[in-house]
Amino acid sequence: MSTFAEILLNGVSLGSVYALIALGFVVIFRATEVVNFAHASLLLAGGYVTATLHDDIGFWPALLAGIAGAALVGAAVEFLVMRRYRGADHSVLAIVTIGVDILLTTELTRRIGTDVLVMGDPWGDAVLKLGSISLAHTRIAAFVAAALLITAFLLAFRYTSWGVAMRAAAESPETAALMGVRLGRVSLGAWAVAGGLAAVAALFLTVFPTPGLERATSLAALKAFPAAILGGLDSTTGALVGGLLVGITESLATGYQSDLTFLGRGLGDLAPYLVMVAILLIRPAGLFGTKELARV
Amino acid sequence: MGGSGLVVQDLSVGYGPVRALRRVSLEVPEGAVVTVLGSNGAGKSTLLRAISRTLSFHGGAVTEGSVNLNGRRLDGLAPDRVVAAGVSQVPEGRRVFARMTVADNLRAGALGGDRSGRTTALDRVHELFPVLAERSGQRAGLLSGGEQQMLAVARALMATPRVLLLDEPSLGLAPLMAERIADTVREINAQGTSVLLVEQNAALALRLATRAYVLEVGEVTLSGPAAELAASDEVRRRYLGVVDEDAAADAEQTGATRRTLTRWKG
Repeated sequence: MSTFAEILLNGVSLGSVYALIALGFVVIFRATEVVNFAHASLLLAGGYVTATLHDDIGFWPALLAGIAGAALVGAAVEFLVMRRYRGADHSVLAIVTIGVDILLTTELTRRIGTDVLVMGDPWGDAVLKLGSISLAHTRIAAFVAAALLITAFLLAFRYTSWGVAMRAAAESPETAALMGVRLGRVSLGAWAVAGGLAAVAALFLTVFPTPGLERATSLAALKAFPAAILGGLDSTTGALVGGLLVGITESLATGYQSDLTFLGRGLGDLAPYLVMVAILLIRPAGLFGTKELARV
Repeated sequence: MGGSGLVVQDLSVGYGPVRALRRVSLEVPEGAVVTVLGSNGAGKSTLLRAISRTLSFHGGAVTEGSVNLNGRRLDGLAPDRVVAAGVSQVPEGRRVFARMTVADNLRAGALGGDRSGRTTALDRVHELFPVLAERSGQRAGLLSGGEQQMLAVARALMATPRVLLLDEPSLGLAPLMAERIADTVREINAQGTSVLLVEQNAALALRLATRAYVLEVGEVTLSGPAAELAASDEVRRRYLGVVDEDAAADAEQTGATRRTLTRWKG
């Protein structure tokens, strides 16, 4: 029983990190209707900045630098690339993001090489014991940080002018422009925010029990895609639920792998996609992705 | 002086190779209600899009001419600068943000105006449309058609415009509701906002406006004081649905040559 609770809590923590990534993904989609395949490389960029700077300037400044760096890369992609294609078909733009992703990932993997970069985080491999349940500090920190960021984001989305402009632009760009919303600024902001969130996610994907940032980290980040898609691409609530669902599934599938050997190894990596396919079979628009008026 | 109010001069607009407007000129003097009549496809919405600088969303562009507000050129500005300059548009078909609440729709309308006037603007629209204050927490998509039109007008007023552009406000509304919208337009105008009203419901528009223009396939074919146009045979026949044998015969004869009423000097 205690293993189950442990696995579940780890899954929730992992899921909240996926939710951070998926949220950025959804924010870009809502603001620009572009499916951003370059998201994993934004995450890798943020993680890389944090990992290379923490020795010189300390962990917290390095983390801030990582967040700012990824936000800057996101904004630069929007400003230098996506903006040039404004008015082009959205599916064309999605393919452009694949090109951007390949460029960014190639450069980052060249820099990282075969190294495994540590993040220099203060939590190390400390473990909290609650009765028979043991939980890594990093997992707790991940959950707390993700919960705080997501709450702050949702509040801003609902109550600030930025949020109103964002939602108006998502619903009808032309009408939003008539209201004086600067669409370029909205999409720039979306990319920057998505980059910042991805940088935080990068930290928690690479700390204990993961050895550190490596080339394959962007593969881990890809699991946020099924999270965003099964939640419904245009729903922030969907991103959160999808993230948690993917995290818990992955955690369970990995945790009980030994009982599931008839399915072979590596089920944990596969599980998110299986869940996505199963959910899309039943609800093609994702869990919250309907256009009904009843949705938030 | 360069003309006070909104002045459109020799404006031509094309959607790619298709010319939608040809050298259209019109004026909305400070404090006036001016209407543009015309059938479907005459270029009425294109004219408003050209003023609010949202043609690019439809693949259109201004090819010649200018738009000025109190001597300041608006053509060439970004849509948000036009709003900031004091011109707000109520789009055709209302286009309220259906998934947002009434209150958030109004907040969205205020994004283009200056921050200081926001609370006054909100008080003003709540006074004009008390129903919006009652429904402020409701999702805009759940309002009735008439209420949505009120919200669309209120949203545009949140930026405290000097000129309000209205695109077919009576479209799809019950006659009684259309009448209510007309009363509101009158009241908004009385409070000092000029109105450029684009309408297919010519009877309603001619009662509201002091001056009217008739747009046909992208060109201004008639213009003059609204009362004069309302009395003119051609307008009565074509836009007011008055069938008058003599007038019809008259129009038949003169139909080939384009008639223009004298310029209004008021």
